[in-house]
Amino acid sequence: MPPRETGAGLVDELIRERWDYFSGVPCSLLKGAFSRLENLAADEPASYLPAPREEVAVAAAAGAYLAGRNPVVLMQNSGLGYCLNTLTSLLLIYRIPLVLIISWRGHGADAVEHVVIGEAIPRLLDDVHIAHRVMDDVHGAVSWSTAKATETRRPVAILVKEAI
Amino acid sequence: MNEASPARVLAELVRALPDALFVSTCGYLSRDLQQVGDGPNFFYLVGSMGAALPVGLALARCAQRERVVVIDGDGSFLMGMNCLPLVGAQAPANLVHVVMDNGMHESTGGQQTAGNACRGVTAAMSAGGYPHALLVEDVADPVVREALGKPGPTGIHLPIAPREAIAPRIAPEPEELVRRTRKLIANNRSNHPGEVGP
Ligand SMILES: Cc1ncc(C[n+]2csc(CCOP(=O)(O)OP(=O)(O)O)c2C)c(N)n1
Repeated sequence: MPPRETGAGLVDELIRERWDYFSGVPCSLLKGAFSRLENLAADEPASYLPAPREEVAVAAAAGAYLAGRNPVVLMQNSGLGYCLNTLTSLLLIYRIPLVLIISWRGHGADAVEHVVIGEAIPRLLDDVHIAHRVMDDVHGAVSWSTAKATETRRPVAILVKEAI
Repeated sequence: MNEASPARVLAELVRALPDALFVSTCGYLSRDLQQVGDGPNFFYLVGSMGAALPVGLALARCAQRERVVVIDGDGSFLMGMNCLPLVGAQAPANLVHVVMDNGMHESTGGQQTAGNACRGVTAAMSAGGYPHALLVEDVADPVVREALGKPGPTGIHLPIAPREAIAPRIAPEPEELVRRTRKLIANNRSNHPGEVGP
């Protein structure tokens, strides 16, 4: 089990790496990260947009990038289904760098609604050419995504398997 | 009712707000906009139907010096409606949301949209928290210019006629659309420093 403050640490590390525009739809596994985002101080160099659907978060990320911001979107893997088209027909072809933080429900035994997507998620990301890796340590995952997203100007994904 | 052609409506909107950034939905509306006179202040979506509003919302919030105009069709509006309360809550004063309503998905062959659901466009915008939402038959009506002069988010629902001709596809590559709009915004910002971000 990662320590309870990992979620906040992840957001801090992303902000340190100049990711400054956050949006997403919550997942219980990402509770700590969302709690940090909901409590961003006014003088921090980052903002958070609570989205009603994952494709809204991903589209907002594109709009923020046009304005010179560096976007991050957090979601449950179920939400990848909702936003897949926004990724394939907007961010991927317009070459917009984005860090996706995706909780990986259903990678093992889990509630039935997570089983199908949980099994498919790495393949699904591979199929649309979104580089991904499981978050082992926060620092490693963030510096990998920063380098990869910047270098390829594409979305990249960090998969989170445990509550952070 | 004597509805105007989309080309005329778009030309009128661009004339009213020549310096605004326009974000247009996929299909024929983006193509019509390109015909008005392509430039870096036009950001066309070639796909991602329903995404023009959230793109425009984030753009308006992150570039508060710019005026942002979202161009939706009625089909695209219905797809992206979940975003209305978010727009109301974020309340970007610099955002205008235009719904050009022909009662159909004309880009894919004219299939009808959700019946008469679009009668409720301005009601939905108001319920979402837009301070101004108006239905206007004619884009040249002075109420349009008056509404554009007020702090938004402002919603404008405009009935339009079916197209007589289909405009050519978007010419610039998607990457180029991003590059040029980012550059325009960055230049505008460095010419007017001191912008505060949300
Ligand atoms: C998710 C998705 N579904 C369907 C389409 C196909 N499509 C492209 S444009 C369009 C119709 C858009 O209708 P509307 O916004 O009313 O504009 P109009 O074509 O009437 O100008 C559709 C259904 C698409 N691009 N994306």
